[in-house]
Amino acid sequence: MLVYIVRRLLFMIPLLLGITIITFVVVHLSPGGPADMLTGLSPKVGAEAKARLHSLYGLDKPIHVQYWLWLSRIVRFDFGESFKDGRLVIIKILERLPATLLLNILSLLLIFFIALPIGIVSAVRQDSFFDKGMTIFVFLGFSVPAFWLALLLMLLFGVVLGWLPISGMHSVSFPEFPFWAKLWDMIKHLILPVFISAFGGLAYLSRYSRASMLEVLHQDYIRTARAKGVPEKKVIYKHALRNALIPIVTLLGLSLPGLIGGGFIFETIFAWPGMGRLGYQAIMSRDYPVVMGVGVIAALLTLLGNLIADITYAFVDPRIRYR
Amino acid sequence: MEKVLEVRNLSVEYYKGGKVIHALRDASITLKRNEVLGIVGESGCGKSTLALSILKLIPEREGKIVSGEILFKGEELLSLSEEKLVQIRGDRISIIFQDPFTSLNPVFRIGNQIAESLALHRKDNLSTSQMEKEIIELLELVKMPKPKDTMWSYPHQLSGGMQQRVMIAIALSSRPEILIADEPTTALDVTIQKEILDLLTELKKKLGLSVVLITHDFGIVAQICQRVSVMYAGSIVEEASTSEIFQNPLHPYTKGLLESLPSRQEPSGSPRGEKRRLKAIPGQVPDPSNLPSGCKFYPRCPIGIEDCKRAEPIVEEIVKNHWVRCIRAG
Amino acid sequence: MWKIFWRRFIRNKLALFGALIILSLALVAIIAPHIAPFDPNQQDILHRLEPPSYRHPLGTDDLGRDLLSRIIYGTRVSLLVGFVAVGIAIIVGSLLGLLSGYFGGWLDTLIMRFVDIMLCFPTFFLILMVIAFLEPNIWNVMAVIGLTGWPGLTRLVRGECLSVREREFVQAAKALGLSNIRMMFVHLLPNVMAPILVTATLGIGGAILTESALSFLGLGVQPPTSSWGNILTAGKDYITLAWWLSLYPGLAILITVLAYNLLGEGLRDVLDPRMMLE
Repeated sequence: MLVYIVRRLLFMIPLLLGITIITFVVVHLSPGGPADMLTGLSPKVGAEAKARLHSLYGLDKPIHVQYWLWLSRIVRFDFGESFKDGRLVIIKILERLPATLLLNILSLLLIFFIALPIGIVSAVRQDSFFDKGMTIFVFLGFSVPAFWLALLLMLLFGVVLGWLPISGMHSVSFPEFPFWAKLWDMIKHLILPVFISAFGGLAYLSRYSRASMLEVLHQDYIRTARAKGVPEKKVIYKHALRNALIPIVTLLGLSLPGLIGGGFIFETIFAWPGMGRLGYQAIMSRDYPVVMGVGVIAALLTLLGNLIADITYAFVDPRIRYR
Repeated sequence: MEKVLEVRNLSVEYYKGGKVIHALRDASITLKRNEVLGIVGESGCGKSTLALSILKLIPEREGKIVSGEILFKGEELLSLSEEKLVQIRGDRISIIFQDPFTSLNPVFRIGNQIAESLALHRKDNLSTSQMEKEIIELLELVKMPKPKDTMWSYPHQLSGGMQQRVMIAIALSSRPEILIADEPTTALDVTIQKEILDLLTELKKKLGLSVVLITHDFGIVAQICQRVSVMYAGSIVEEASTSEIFQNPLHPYTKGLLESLPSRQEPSGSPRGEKRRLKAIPGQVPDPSNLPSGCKFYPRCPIGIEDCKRAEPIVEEIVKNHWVRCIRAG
Repeated sequence: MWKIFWRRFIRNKLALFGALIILSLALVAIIAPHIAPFDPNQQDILHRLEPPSYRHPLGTDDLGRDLLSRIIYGTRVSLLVGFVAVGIAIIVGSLLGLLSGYFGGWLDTLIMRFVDIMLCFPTFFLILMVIAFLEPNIWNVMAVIGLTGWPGLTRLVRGECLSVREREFVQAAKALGLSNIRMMFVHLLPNVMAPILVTATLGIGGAILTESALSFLGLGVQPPTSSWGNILTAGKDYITLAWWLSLYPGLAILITVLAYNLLGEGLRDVLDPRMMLE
C-alpha cells in the first residue's frame, strides 16, 4: 500500500508542472498580459515601478526563461507582489484561505451527512414514493443555476424575512461580541453560503450513493448474507453499506475541485472574504501575480483532494490495501 | 426413509421488461434423509430458481412464488413469517453458490464471515477465544490449508477452491440438516472439482447431511448422487435413482442428454479412424416467457406425436421408484 | 437498430418531455422577433423597474426594457451557446479519445496526462481567467466553454474505444487491412456514439449554466444583448426593489437545463446497450 501512495505522489509531479505551465501560458499569452501592461496605458504605474516590474518578471527575456524564473520562485511559494497594493501575494492568499477552507469543509460535511442517507434509502426503497420524490429533487438540483438560487434565498431570508445576513463573514460589530454571540453570528453568516455551495454536490452525491448502493445490493455476496440468515437490516447496514461506501468516500475527495470552482461565484455573491473572491477581484483588476497565485494554489488544492481521495480509497478497500 | 424436504408443485414467475418468465412450473422434488439428490438440467431450466425458492431468497422485486408448497420435515416453509425464515436460513438449511469469489463479501476477513454465522446460530454465547477455536475447527473440517493464517485473509487473497471451502465452512457452521449446493464446482478447475465433491461426500457422512446438488454435469451426478431429478423448461421430467437413470433412461430428453456425453460415445470402429461428431439435442431450450402449449420438449423430441402437443403430460411412475413425464415413455 | 431506439424513445416519458420542451424553446428562439411584444433593447426610462403588469407581463428592468422580450431573445443566446460550446467539446474530445483509445502507447499516455492536468483545474476559474484576459463576448465564451469541456469526453470515448477495440469485429476488420482512419471513424465511432450523445445532451445543460454564470459576473454576453445571466446581474443589483428581475430569468434557465437533463437521462436509458438483450 505504501507503494501505492508513493506512486500517486510521484504521479502528481508532472501534473503540477502541467498546471504551472498552463497557468503561466494563459496569463502571459493572452492580450492584456503583463507584456502589454508595460507598454500599455497605465498612467498610475510610474517609470520607476515599470522598471521594477520589468526586471522582476524578466519581461525582456524569452518566454521559457520567464517561465523557469517564475517556476523557481513559486516552488518557494513566492508569487511576487500584488499589482494593486504591492503586498506579497502569498500573504494575501493565506489571509483568505481559512475562510475558503471553512466554507468548503462545512459544505463537504453537509453533503456527506445529507446526501448519503438520501441515496441509501432511495436505493433500499427503490421505486418508492421517497425514491421518486428524491429523484425529482435531484434533477432539479442539477438544473438550478446556483447563483440564482443564492439570489432567491438572499431575497427570501435576507430581505423579506430578514432572518439571515446576506454578506460577509461577520457582522460589523463582531469584535465586540462575547463568545457565544460571536459563534452565533458566524453560524448565521455561514448558513446561506454553505447551503448554496453544497447544493449541487448534494444532488450529485445522492444520485451517486443511490447508484452505488443499488449496484452493491445486486451482488452475490448480499444473497449469501441473506442465505446465512442475517436479518435484512443488518444485510443492508453492515454488508451492503460498507461496500457501497468505498466509491462514495473517494468521490468526496474528488468533490473538492467542484467546490473550489464554485467558490469563485458564491464568495463573490455573498461577499465572503475567501480566496475565490480574491481571485475574482484580481482577474477583474488585472492583478496578474494574484491571479497566477490563486490559480496555482487552487489547482494544488484540487490535486490534494485527489490525493486524499486515492489514499482513502486504498485504505477503505481491502482489495487494494492487501494486494 | 424419512422425507426431510419435499417441494410440491412449486411455480415461480419472474418479471422483466414487462414480460412474465415462467421459471418454475409445478416442480416437485423429494429429498430423503442422508441422501444426495441431484438436480440436472441445462442453463435456464430453472434449477437455480428452485434452489433459491426453498429458502425464499428471490427478491420481491424480481420474482414471486405463485403456488406450491415446501415442506421441511413436515413444516410448511412458504407460509412462515420472515422472522421465522431468517432462523432457518443458514441454520437448519444452508445453501452454497456457484461462484465463491463473488459470493463472499470482499471487505470482511473470512474468519469474520464464518464468525458471523456462528454468532447468529449458536445458542450458546461464545467468547472470542472460543470463537477462534471453532473457526479453526471448521476450517480444518473443510480441509483448508493453514487455517490459523487463512482465517485472517480477505477473500481475494484465496484461490477459488479455498474460497469454496470457506463457503462450505460457513454453510456447515450451524450443523444444518440440509445443504443445498447450487453448481458448487462449475466455477472451479477440474482438478479442484473432484476435491470439493469428495469433501462434500465425506462431510455428508460425517455430519449426517442431506444434500440437494444442482448441476448440469451428469458426470458429477454419477460421482456422488443417489437419486436424480432431471429438469426441463421449469419442471421435472424424470426422477429415479442414479443407477436406474444411467441404465434405463425413459424420457427422450434424458436420453438425449446422456447420449451427448462425450464419454458415452462409442469409439469409432472404422479402420480409417474416422472421427464421429458429438451428438447433440437439436433445437434450443424454449423461451421461458413464451412457452409452447402441450409438452415443452415436443419441438425437439425425436419421438413426439400429435398427442404430445395437446396437453402437458403428467408425471407417472412407469417403473418402481422411477417417475417420468412423457406419454411415450415405457 | 435505430428503429428500436426510436420506439423506446417514444415510450420514455422523461426523454419525450425534455425533447418537447427543447423543441418549444428552439421554436421560441427562431420566431423570437414575431412573438416578443417589445424590442428587447428598447429603453423606456419612464417605466423602469416596473413590476409585472398587463403591458409588461414580467415587468421591466432598470432601463425600462421589457423583461419578457429580453427573456425571449435570451433563448437564442442560451441555445446557441449550448450547441456550439458542446459541439466544440465533442469534436475535440471525440477526436482525442479516438486517437488515444485506438492507437494506445505513448500517444495514449500523452493525451491522458493532458486530460488529467486539465481536469485538475477548477474549470470555472480557468474559464474566468481566460475570458477576463480575452475580451468577454459570446464567441469567446462558447470557445472557452467548449475547450474546457472536452477532457471528460475524451476519457469516456477512450474507455469505450478500449472495450470495443478488443471485440472480434474490430480484429476482423483490422485483419482485412482497413486503414486506420477507416477503422476509427467507420467502425469504432458508431459504437461510441451512444454515450457521446448522452454526455453531449447533459453537457448542453452544463454549458448553459456556465454561460449564465459568466454573464452574471459580467464576463459573458455583454449588454445590451440579453442573456438570462446578465439580466440576473441587474437582478442582484436591484434585489430589494425588483424581485421579478431575479425570479424570471433564473426560472428560464432552470426549465431549459432541466429539459436537457431529462432528455439526457432519458437517452441514457434508451440507448443503454444492456437493454438490447430483451
